[in-house]
Amino acid sequence: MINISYNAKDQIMSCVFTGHLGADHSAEIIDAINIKTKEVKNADNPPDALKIIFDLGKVEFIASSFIRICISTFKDVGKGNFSIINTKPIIKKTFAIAGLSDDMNIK
Amino acid sequence: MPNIQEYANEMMDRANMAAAVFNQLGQEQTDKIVENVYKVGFNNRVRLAMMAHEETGMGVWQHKVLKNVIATQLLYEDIKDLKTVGVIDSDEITGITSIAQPLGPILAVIPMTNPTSTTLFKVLISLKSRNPVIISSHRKAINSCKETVRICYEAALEAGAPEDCIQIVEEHSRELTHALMAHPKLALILATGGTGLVKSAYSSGNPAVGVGPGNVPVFIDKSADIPFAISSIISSKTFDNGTICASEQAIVVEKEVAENVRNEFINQNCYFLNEEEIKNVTKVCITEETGNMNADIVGQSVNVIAKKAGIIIPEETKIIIAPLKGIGKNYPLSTEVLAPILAFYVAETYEDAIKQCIDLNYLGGIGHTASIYANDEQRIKEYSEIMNAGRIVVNTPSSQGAVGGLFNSLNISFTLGCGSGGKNITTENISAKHLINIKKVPAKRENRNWKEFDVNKFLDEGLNIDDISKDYYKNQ
Repeated sequence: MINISYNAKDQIMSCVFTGHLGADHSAEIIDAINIKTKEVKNADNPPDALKIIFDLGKVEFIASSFIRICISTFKDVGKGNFSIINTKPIIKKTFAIAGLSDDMNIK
Repeated sequence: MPNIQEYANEMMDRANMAAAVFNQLGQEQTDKIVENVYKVGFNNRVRLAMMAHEETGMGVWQHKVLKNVIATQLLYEDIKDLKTVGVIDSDEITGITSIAQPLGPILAVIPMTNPTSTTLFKVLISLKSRNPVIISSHRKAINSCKETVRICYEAALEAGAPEDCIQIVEEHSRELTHALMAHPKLALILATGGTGLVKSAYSSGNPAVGVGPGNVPVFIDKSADIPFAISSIISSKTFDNGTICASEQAIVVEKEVAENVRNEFINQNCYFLNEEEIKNVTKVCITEETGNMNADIVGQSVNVIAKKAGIIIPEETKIIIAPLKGIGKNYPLSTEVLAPILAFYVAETYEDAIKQCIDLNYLGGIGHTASIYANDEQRIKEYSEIMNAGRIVVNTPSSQGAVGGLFNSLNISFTLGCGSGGKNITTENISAKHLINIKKVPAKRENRNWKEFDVNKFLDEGLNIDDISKDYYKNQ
């Protein structure tokens, strides 16, 4: 459901999601992101400005809870440091209806 | 409520998020949600009816149970096979494919007369069309509406509906309702209520379907089965003490059968008021300053109204009837009264009777509902053609007939479109099919006449339509 990796050179944390991201998965996703973020920030060489990418290439459905995770992550890292990539058209449209496309870098 | 606009923004943000998630659901999932919600609504039909009756002090709880059944079981039968997701129609001949897309967040304003049934109805048609809905209840029915929303929302979530797909304005506030109505993220207002509320909906700047008052004339033709007609009218006008806006308001008969009709009403336990009693009943039923019905008598029984008016009627009386000499503001009981009270008119001729029905129709119920009892097909046709009503019910109790499903094949609805007369875009019974945007995908089908015609000929002022037609339609 979520696979997180960190590229210290580019200071980019990539979160690759798969499947159906329903409300029942939100706690698990938040925990995984928090743990990894803490680990990255507490590393010997912490990033000046952490960038986070959500890769939704293999995601079929997102619930409101996942959209809230996107909003909260976006607020944490700031504009320009967050992006969502590889969305399927239906997911792209979901973000558009939610009115988030203008602020977030959603591709 | 600390800040009304902030509260409205929060509700609309949540609704908008739900709309976004709803957009991903397929037909099967959507139908599963609707099925779950209708079942829970049906299973709670008695409890919700009792709550509504106790809270509002209106109507008859047993009839409210039936309304809840109509708004769940019968509505479900009506909409369950309706396609509301993806391709909903494809016409080989025209080459047009129709694709459904949800509208977005809907604000559903609920009246105190039918609170739980209207909430169930609006929730189900919204969910069927994948639209989140915000319920704004009349202040006197807020607890029964909250409970209805609570059970529906739980059932919807259990079936996989998006969070916040159903919300309710927790504390009634006119200002908040107006803020929601005017909110830029709102897609549609489904407003059922008084004239003021409906006007607010239309002036909000958002699309609205507003259903205001009706003033249903009933023409009993001499060809009608009179005992049957009277029995049918009584069953309709006493249903939930007349709280349905499609209930009969005035009876119009020709002189020739007037006595017969009058006697039949009396035989079936209706009471005709004398002039003095009409004055007393008018005082309690109509607010003198506004000319509108007094909210305190809405949905009350005849005995309660008679007591308020200080008149004595037989205990078994079902309806009180006011024989009136005219229609309009000088005859206040010629307007809508949502209680078991009818106006009664005797016309000299058939034409006079129809003209009185037109006056009643245009007095306050344009586009709503009209009723006729007749066995003369020609007269039914004439009446139907001349009345300005979205539904003309024939030999049918108009309350139950207008909402559809029981006596005819009209779509089940607690929101009756009133056409342009009622400032509506449609005269249909509003249902799930009205809550989707239908996208058209036209396959290429070239107009052969146009294609094979020299369009420069249109530029020649010397050619008239006959000259052009000869050439334009040459292949036909």
